[in-house]
Amino acid sequence: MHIELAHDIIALKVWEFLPEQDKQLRLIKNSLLQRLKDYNNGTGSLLGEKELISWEDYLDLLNLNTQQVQFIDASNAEIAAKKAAKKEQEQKELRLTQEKLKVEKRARRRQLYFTIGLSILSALAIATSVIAFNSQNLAKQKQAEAEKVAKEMGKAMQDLTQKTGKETLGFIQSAEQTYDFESGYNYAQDLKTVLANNETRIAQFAASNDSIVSDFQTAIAPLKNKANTFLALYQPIINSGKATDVKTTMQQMDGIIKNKNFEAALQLHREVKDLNIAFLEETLLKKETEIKEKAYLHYLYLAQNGFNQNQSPRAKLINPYRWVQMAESYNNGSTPATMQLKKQICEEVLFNVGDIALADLLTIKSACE
Amino acid sequence: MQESPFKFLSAFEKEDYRFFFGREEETKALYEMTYDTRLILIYGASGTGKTSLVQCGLANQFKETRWKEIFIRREQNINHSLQTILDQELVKSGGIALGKPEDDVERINLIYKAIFKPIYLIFDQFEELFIINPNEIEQQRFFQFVDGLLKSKAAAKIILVMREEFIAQLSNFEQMIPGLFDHRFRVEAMRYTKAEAAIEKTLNKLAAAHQIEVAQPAAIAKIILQNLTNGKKKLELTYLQVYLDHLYQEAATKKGNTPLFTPQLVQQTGDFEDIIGEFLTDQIAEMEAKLGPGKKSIPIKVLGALITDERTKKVINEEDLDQLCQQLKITRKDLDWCLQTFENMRILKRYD
Repeated sequence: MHIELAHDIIALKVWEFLPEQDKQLRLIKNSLLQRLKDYNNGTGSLLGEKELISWEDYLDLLNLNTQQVQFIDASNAEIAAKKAAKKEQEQKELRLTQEKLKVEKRARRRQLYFTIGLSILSALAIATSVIAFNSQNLAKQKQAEAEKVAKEMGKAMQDLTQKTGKETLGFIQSAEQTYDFESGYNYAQDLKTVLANNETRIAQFAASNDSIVSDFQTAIAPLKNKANTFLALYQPIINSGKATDVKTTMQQMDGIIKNKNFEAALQLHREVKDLNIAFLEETLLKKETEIKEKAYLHYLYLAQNGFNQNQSPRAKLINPYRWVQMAESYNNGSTPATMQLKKQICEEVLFNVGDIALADLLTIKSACE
Repeated sequence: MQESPFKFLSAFEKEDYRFFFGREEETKALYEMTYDTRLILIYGASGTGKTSLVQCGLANQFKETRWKEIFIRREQNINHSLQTILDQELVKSGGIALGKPEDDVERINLIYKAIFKPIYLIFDQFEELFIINPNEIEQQRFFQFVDGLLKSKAAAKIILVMREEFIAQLSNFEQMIPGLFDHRFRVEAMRYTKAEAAIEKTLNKLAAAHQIEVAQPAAIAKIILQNLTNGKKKLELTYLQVYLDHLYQEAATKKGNTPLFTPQLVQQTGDFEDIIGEFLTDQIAEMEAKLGPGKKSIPIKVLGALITDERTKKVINEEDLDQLCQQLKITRKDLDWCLQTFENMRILKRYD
């Protein structure tokens, strides 16, 4: 005997009459059975977290059998494992992100150090070379630039007292960047002044935990030291009033070299050297080498031309022997290139030598060896 | 009091032909379709009268010698049910003496040889195959049987009757049965005008049979439809039968031997926005009162066991009732009482 409702319309009504909990239980039980069936058939997966959470309050009321309970346990276990794996992955990603941030921060800091360092070192290096080598016109140009930068510095300093931290810092950094390779000594001094004047302000920004200011402060510390060292060395020269002389003398020296008056150039060089400015020693040594090298080559060429009828009619009148002797007097242990040239010229001299005293010939030969 | 002549929730059966009105066109079209094919799919919404159309309308189109209907419900397994019913028919028809069948097609052939009537296998509530614990193997086997039968020369036709919202499930088997959708018949809700005529004819016929008395049947039909359709142009036939039954019960309480249907009676009864819902509510409340406190939830629990989660009815077997008691945590006595009460109310039926 079979029993059933008289019509589906009754079924529809009965469903409406069922308590909400009963409906939920029925739907959950059915879903669970279907999911378990699919899982056992290999066509489904374990239950998801959302399902289990929404079923949580009903599971105890479902009278589940062992297999169904095991299915739920396995689902819970899988969810826990997935969560653990996800957490581990998140932590790993967090670590990677933190490391990346650190690297980026270091890179930014390095960039900042580099920019500031480059600016200051450039200023220091060029300040030295400007003092030593620049021409009068260049000096004027530099002076104009110095004034321009000084103005910017002044503005920056003024702004510093009026504007907010980061904004003002931007002005300082802009000003610093104007210390390019063409800058002169005064810029270094200006920089030192700016840094000194702003030190308190920067410290305040640092104290308010402004990371950029903090980075900036860290970056400029060694550069400030270098600027101080440089200025400490040069200050006595400035104080003695000789700084202007040195500058002028070095500029004159370049003009004299251009005019091939090597002996006079060496004389000026000696005058500057006698001032015993420690940080100019290297510069002066290079300058001396430059003068001698240029003089040596100059006289060798003259000697060569003396034997070359076609190139210099005037040279025919000059005794090449004299020029070789002159060149030799400037010999300063030349570079391989000059040695090669010297050898070539000497061979030409010996080959072309005509009516010449034996003593002179031996002198030339000795010079060429 | 006399038994109500109205169907209430039951479908029309072959012997109800005298009162089966409003489906003449559909019946004719369906009958003609049986000459075109051996496989018909009848579908439609719940309450449109699909089963009545086949059991009463179509069945009465055939001469006695041209129609042998076998109704099959899925129950636990459609293939098992089919075999069981065919075996019963084999015995009943005497076909069992004609051979030893090895499959269902052979069983059908033997039944035919015994009775010489074309056999119509009518699978009613066919959607159950897909909504109550669906089993792919069962479904495959069934459609293999359909395929085998259609390819055989057996004098049998198949009519599948199902609710239209589940028809898409069949598409999985279209490859196996290419003509599955070729001869389909949609049963639509009855139109207002047809329903009006059908009510009037029904009342007149019952009056002629002295089962009721009626005054102004045309006016009654109009008021009933107004009350039931609430301005809509379609009518759900189940609601009509329940309403007519309700009128009959009301009329039967008045004085006189034969219940009298009048326009006043219908007007007094008024409209039922949810006629079945109200009926159920009243009946359940009455049962709960009889059961007493502590057992109030039993009637609805029992009804709940008779429906699927898809809100359709579900067959349960008599032998499963003990298990149902355990599941519902009620006594067998209470369960039997509830089932009997529901059966008396005609909202539940038992069949072999």
